[in-house]
Amino acid sequence: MPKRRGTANNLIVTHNMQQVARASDYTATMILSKDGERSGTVIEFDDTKHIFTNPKDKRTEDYVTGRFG
Amino acid sequence: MLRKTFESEIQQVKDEVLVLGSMVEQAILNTVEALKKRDVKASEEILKADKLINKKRFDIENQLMILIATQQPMAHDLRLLASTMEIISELERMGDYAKGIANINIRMGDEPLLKPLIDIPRMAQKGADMLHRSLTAFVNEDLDVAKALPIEDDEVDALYNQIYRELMTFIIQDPKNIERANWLLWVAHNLERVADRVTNICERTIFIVTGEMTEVKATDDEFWKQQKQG
Repeated sequence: MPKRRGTANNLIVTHNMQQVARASDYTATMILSKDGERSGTVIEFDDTKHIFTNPKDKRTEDYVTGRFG
Repeated sequence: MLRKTFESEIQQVKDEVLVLGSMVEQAILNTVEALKKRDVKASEEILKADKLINKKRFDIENQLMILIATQQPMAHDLRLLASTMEIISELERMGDYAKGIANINIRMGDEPLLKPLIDIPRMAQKGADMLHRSLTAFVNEDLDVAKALPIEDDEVDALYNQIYRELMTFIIQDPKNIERANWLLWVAHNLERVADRVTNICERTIFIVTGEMTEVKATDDEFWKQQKQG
Protein backbone atom coordinates (compact mmCIF):
# COMPACT_ATOMS: atom_id res chain seq x y z
CA MET A 1 0.00 0.00 0.00
CA PRO A 2 2.77 2.55 0.73
CA LYS A 3 3.97 2.14 -2.90
CA ARG A 4 0.61 3.35 -4.20
CA ARG A 5 0.62 6.45 -2.02
CA GLY A 6 -0.12 9.49 -4.17
CA THR A 7 -1.32 7.46 -7.15
CA ALA A 8 -4.43 5.74 -5.89
CA ASN A 9 -6.95 6.08 -3.09
CA ASN A 10 -7.47 3.02 -0.93
CA LEU A 11 -10.34 2.66 1.46
CA ILE A 12 -10.15 -0.06 4.06
CA VAL A 13 -12.77 -0.88 6.65
CA THR A 14 -11.25 -2.78 9.52
CA HIS A 15 -11.17 -3.45 13.24
CA ASN A 16 -7.38 -3.85 13.13
CA MET A 17 -6.16 -0.69 14.83
CA GLN A 18 -2.48 -1.40 14.24
CA GLN A 19 -3.11 -1.73 10.50
CA VAL A 20 -5.03 1.55 10.47
CA ALA A 21 -2.27 3.33 12.42
CA ARG A 22 0.46 1.98 10.14
CA ALA A 23 -1.11 2.27 6.73
CA SER A 24 -3.59 5.13 6.55
CA ASP A 25 -3.35 8.90 6.19
CA TYR A 26 -6.91 9.61 7.33
CA THR A 27 -9.26 7.71 9.57
CA ALA A 28 -13.01 7.76 10.05
CA THR A 29 -14.44 6.03 13.09
CA MET A 30 -17.87 4.49 12.66
CA ILE A 31 -20.43 3.17 15.08
CA LEU A 32 -23.82 1.51 15.15
CA SER A 33 -26.53 4.17 15.38
CA LYS A 34 -28.28 4.64 18.74
CA ASP A 35 -31.44 2.89 17.60
CA GLY A 36 -29.25 -0.01 16.42
CA GLU A 37 -30.60 0.14 12.88
CA ARG A 38 -27.83 1.86 10.95
CA SER A 39 -24.26 0.59 11.12
CA GLY A 40 -21.43 2.74 9.79
CA THR A 41 -22.48 6.06 11.28
CA VAL A 42 -19.36 8.24 11.09
CA ILE A 43 -18.61 9.84 14.45
CA GLU A 44 -15.20 11.32 13.70
CA PHE A 45 -12.95 11.91 10.70
CA ASP A 46 -9.41 13.27 10.98
CA ASP A 47 -5.73 12.73 10.21
CA THR A 48 -4.82 9.26 11.45
CA LYS A 49 -2.16 10.74 13.72
CA HIS A 50 -4.81 12.84 15.46
CA ILE A 51 -7.21 9.94 15.83
CA PHE A 52 -4.56 7.92 17.66
CA THR A 53 -3.01 10.68 19.76
CA ASN A 54 -5.77 13.17 20.53
CA PRO A 55 -9.22 12.21 19.23
CA LYS A 56 -12.02 14.70 19.74
CA ASP A 57 -14.90 12.27 20.23
CA LYS A 58 -15.11 10.38 23.53
CA ARG A 59 -16.37 7.27 21.70
CA THR A 60 -13.33 7.32 19.40
CA GLU A 61 -11.08 7.74 22.42
CA ASP A 62 -12.74 4.79 24.17
CA TYR A 63 -12.41 2.65 21.05
CA VAL A 64 -8.77 3.32 20.19
CA THR A 65 -7.72 2.93 23.83
CA GLY A 66 -9.47 -0.43 24.05
CA ARG A 67 -12.16 0.62 26.51
CA PHE A 68 -15.02 -0.01 24.09
CA GLY A 69 -15.71 -2.39 21.24
CA MET B 1 -14.34 -3.34 31.92
CA LEU B 2 -11.91 -4.37 29.18
CA ARG B 3 -9.08 -2.22 30.45
CA LYS B 4 -9.46 -2.69 34.20
CA THR B 5 -6.02 -4.28 34.64
CA PHE B 6 -4.37 -1.62 32.50
CA GLU B 7 -6.07 1.12 34.48
CA SER B 8 -4.96 -0.35 37.78
CA GLU B 9 -1.39 -0.63 36.41
CA ILE B 10 -1.52 3.03 35.38
CA GLN B 11 -2.63 3.89 38.91
CA GLN B 12 0.31 1.92 40.30
CA VAL B 13 2.71 3.90 38.12
CA LYS B 14 1.15 7.16 39.30
CA ASP B 15 1.58 6.04 42.92
CA GLU B 16 5.24 5.23 42.24
CA VAL B 17 5.74 8.67 40.71
CA LEU B 18 4.35 10.19 43.91
CA VAL B 19 6.82 8.12 45.96
CA LEU B 20 9.70 9.30 43.74
CA GLY B 21 8.46 12.88 44.02
CA SER B 22 8.35 12.65 47.79
CA MET B 23 11.94 11.29 47.86
CA VAL B 24 13.08 14.26 45.74
CA GLU B 25 11.11 16.76 47.82
CA GLN B 26 12.74 15.43 50.99
CA ALA B 27 16.20 15.52 49.36
CA ILE B 28 15.76 19.20 48.44
CA LEU B 29 14.71 20.18 51.97
CA ASN B 30 17.31 17.98 53.70
CA THR B 31 20.22 19.10 51.56
CA VAL B 32 19.61 22.78 52.35
CA GLU B 33 19.12 21.97 56.05
CA ALA B 34 22.46 20.11 56.02
CA LEU B 35 24.14 23.11 54.39
CA LYS B 36 22.54 25.50 56.85
CA LYS B 37 23.86 23.45 59.78
CA ARG B 38 27.15 22.67 57.95
CA ASP B 39 26.40 19.02 58.64
CA VAL B 40 28.68 17.07 56.30
CA LYS B 41 27.41 13.67 57.47
CA ALA B 42 23.85 14.65 56.55
CA SER B 43 25.11 15.70 53.12
CA GLU B 44 26.75 12.31 52.67
CA GLU B 45 23.35 10.76 53.42
CA ILE B 46 21.88 12.88 50.60
CA LEU B 47 24.42 11.35 48.20
CA LYS B 48 23.30 7.87 49.27
CA ALA B 49 19.63 8.85 48.96
CA ASP B 50 20.27 10.07 45.41
CA LYS B 51 21.26 6.55 44.40
CA LEU B 52 17.85 5.35 45.63
CA ILE B 53 16.17 8.15 43.65
CA ASN B 54 18.00 7.05 40.49
CA LYS B 55 17.04 3.43 41.09
CA LYS B 56 13.39 4.33 41.62
CA ARG B 57 13.41 6.32 38.36
CA PHE B 58 14.80 3.30 36.45
CA ASP B 59 12.22 1.01 38.06
CA ILE B 60 9.36 3.27 36.97
CA GLU B 61 10.87 3.62 33.48
CA ASN B 62 10.96 -0.15 33.23
CA GLN B 63 7.32 -0.41 34.35
CA LEU B 64 6.39 2.14 31.67
CA MET B 65 8.26 0.28 28.94
CA ILE B 66 6.44 -2.94 29.82
CA LEU B 67 3.08 -1.15 29.76
CA ILE B 68 3.82 0.44 26.37
CA ALA B 69 4.96 -2.89 24.90
CA THR B 70 2.11 -4.98 26.27
CA GLN B 71 -0.84 -2.57 26.19
CA GLN B 72 -0.13 -0.51 23.04
CA PRO B 73 -1.56 2.66 24.58
CA MET B 74 -3.34 5.19 22.37
CA ALA B 75 -4.70 8.73 22.74
CA HIS B 76 -4.93 9.82 26.40
CA ASP B 77 -3.17 6.67 27.63
CA LEU B 78 -0.30 7.24 25.21
CA ARG B 79 0.06 10.88 26.25
CA LEU B 80 -0.01 9.87 29.90
CA LEU B 81 2.68 7.19 29.61
CA ALA B 82 4.94 9.29 27.36
CA SER B 83 4.59 12.27 29.71
CA THR B 84 5.25 10.14 32.78
CA MET B 85 8.50 9.03 31.17
CA GLU B 86 9.42 12.71 30.83
CA ILE B 87 8.30 13.61 34.36
CA ILE B 88 10.38 10.92 36.07
CA SER B 89 13.39 12.23 34.19
CA GLU B 90 12.65 15.75 35.49
CA LEU B 91 12.39 14.36 39.03
CA GLU B 92 15.68 12.53 38.75
CA ARG B 93 17.39 15.73 37.60
CA MET B 94 15.89 17.59 40.58
CA GLY B 95 17.42 14.91 42.79
CA ASP B 96 20.75 15.68 41.12
CA TYR B 97 20.40 19.34 42.10
CA ALA B 98 19.97 18.26 45.73
CA LYS B 99 23.04 16.06 45.33
CA GLY B 100 24.95 19.01 43.85
CA ILE B 101 24.16 21.09 46.93
CA ALA B 102 25.29 18.21 49.19
CA ASN B 103 28.57 18.04 47.27
CA ILE B 104 29.09 21.78 47.76
CA ASN B 105 28.59 21.38 51.51
CA ILE B 106 31.11 18.53 51.58
CA ARG B 107 33.66 20.43 49.46
CA MET B 108 33.38 23.51 51.66
CA GLY B 109 35.09 21.50 54.41
CA ASP B 110 35.71 23.62 57.50
CA GLU B 111 35.03 26.95 55.79
CA PRO B 112 32.18 28.80 57.50
CA LEU B 113 29.23 30.02 55.43
CA LEU B 114 29.73 33.47 53.95
CA LYS B 115 26.45 34.55 55.53
CA PRO B 116 23.60 32.99 57.49
CA LEU B 117 21.17 31.30 55.10
CA ILE B 118 17.77 32.98 54.96
CA ASP B 119 16.59 33.21 51.37
CA ILE B 120 18.16 29.93 50.26
CA PRO B 121 15.97 27.86 52.67
CA ARG B 122 13.00 29.92 51.45
CA MET B 123 13.82 28.95 47.86
CA ALA B 124 14.07 25.29 48.89
CA GLN B 125 10.77 25.45 50.75
CA LYS B 126 9.00 27.13 47.85
CA GLY B 127 10.50 24.76 45.27
CA ALA B 128 9.57 21.67 47.32
CA ASP B 129 6.05 22.99 47.82
CA MET B 130 5.64 23.70 44.11
CA LEU B 131 6.96 20.24 43.29
CA HIS B 132 4.45 18.63 45.65
CA ARG B 133 1.51 20.51 44.16
CA SER B 134 2.65 19.88 40.57
CA LEU B 135 2.66 16.13 41.19
CA THR B 136 -0.77 16.24 42.83
CA ALA B 137 -1.98 18.10 39.73
CA PHE B 138 -0.36 15.44 37.53
CA VAL B 139 -2.00 12.55 39.37
CA ASN B 140 -5.41 14.26 39.44
CA GLU B 141 -4.95 15.67 35.92
CA ASP B 142 -5.88 19.07 37.32
CA LEU B 143 -5.62 21.50 34.43
CA ASP B 144 -6.29 24.63 36.50
CA VAL B 145 -3.44 23.97 38.94
CA ALA B 146 -1.09 22.92 36.12
CA LYS B 147 -1.74 26.23 34.37
CA ALA B 148 -1.52 28.41 37.50
CA LEU B 149 1.52 26.90 39.21
CA PRO B 150 4.27 28.00 36.76
CA ILE B 151 3.49 31.65 37.56
CA GLU B 152 4.82 31.00 41.08
CA ASP B 153 8.23 30.35 39.54
CA ASP B 154 8.57 34.15 39.47
CA GLU B 155 8.78 34.15 43.29
CA VAL B 156 11.70 31.72 43.16
CA ASP B 157 13.36 33.79 40.42
CA ALA B 158 12.93 36.91 42.57
CA LEU B 159 14.61 35.19 45.54
CA TYR B 160 17.45 34.07 43.27
CA ASN B 161 17.84 37.61 42.00
CA GLN B 162 17.99 38.89 45.58
CA ILE B 163 20.63 36.31 46.57
CA TYR B 164 22.64 37.08 43.42
CA ARG B 165 22.78 40.79 44.23
CA GLU B 166 23.64 40.17 47.87
CA LEU B 167 26.49 37.82 46.95
CA MET B 168 27.82 40.29 44.38
CA THR B 169 27.95 42.90 47.15
CA PHE B 170 30.06 40.53 49.27
CA ILE B 171 32.42 39.97 46.34
CA ILE B 172 32.78 43.71 45.65
CA GLN B 173 33.47 44.35 49.34
CA ASP B 174 36.27 41.80 49.48
CA PRO B 175 37.48 39.60 46.60
CA LYS B 176 38.52 37.00 49.18
CA ASN B 177 34.81 36.23 49.40
CA ILE B 178 34.67 35.08 45.78
CA GLU B 179 34.94 31.35 46.41
CA ARG B 180 32.44 31.20 49.27
CA ALA B 181 30.03 33.48 47.39
CA ASN B 182 30.36 31.29 44.33
CA TRP B 183 29.42 28.19 46.32
CA LEU B 184 26.24 29.82 47.57
CA LEU B 185 25.44 31.11 44.11
CA TRP B 186 25.59 27.54 42.79
CA VAL B 187 23.29 26.42 45.59
CA ALA B 188 20.79 29.14 44.68
CA HIS B 189 21.12 28.32 40.99
CA ASN B 190 20.33 24.66 41.64
CA LEU B 191 17.22 25.62 43.60
CA GLU B 192 16.13 28.00 40.87
CA ARG B 193 16.38 25.15 38.36
CA VAL B 194 14.18 22.96 40.59
CA ALA B 195 11.33 25.45 40.18
CA ASP B 196 11.94 25.60 36.41
CA ARG B 197 11.56 21.85 36.21
CA VAL B 198 8.28 22.05 38.14
CA THR B 199 7.08 24.19 35.23
CA ASN B 200 8.05 21.36 32.85
CA ILE B 201 5.99 18.90 34.90
CA CYS B 202 2.99 21.26 34.64
CA GLU B 203 3.45 21.47 30.86
CA ARG B 204 3.30 17.68 30.66
CA THR B 205 0.11 17.60 32.74
CA ILE B 206 -1.47 20.15 30.40
CA PHE B 207 -0.43 17.93 27.47
CA ILE B 208 -1.95 14.82 29.07
CA VAL B 209 -5.29 16.58 29.58
CA THR B 210 -5.55 18.65 26.38
CA GLY B 211 -3.18 17.00 23.91
CA GLU B 212 -1.58 20.39 23.33
CA MET B 213 2.13 20.81 23.79
CA THR B 214 2.71 24.36 24.94
CA GLU B 215 5.40 26.23 26.81
CA VAL B 216 3.55 27.88 29.69
CA LYS B 217 6.45 30.05 30.79
CA ALA B 218 9.88 30.57 29.29
CA THR B 219 12.43 29.51 31.92
CA ASP B 220 14.74 32.15 33.42
CA ASP B 221 12.82 35.01 31.78
CA GLU B 222 12.00 36.70 35.05
CA PHE B 223 15.56 36.54 36.37
CA TRP B 224 17.11 38.02 33.23
CA LYS B 225 14.36 40.64 32.96
CA GLN B 226 15.20 41.80 36.47
CA GLN B 227 18.93 41.84 35.66
CA LYS B 228 18.29 44.09 32.65
CA GLN B 229 16.14 46.44 34.70
CA GLY B 230 19.11 46.74 37.09
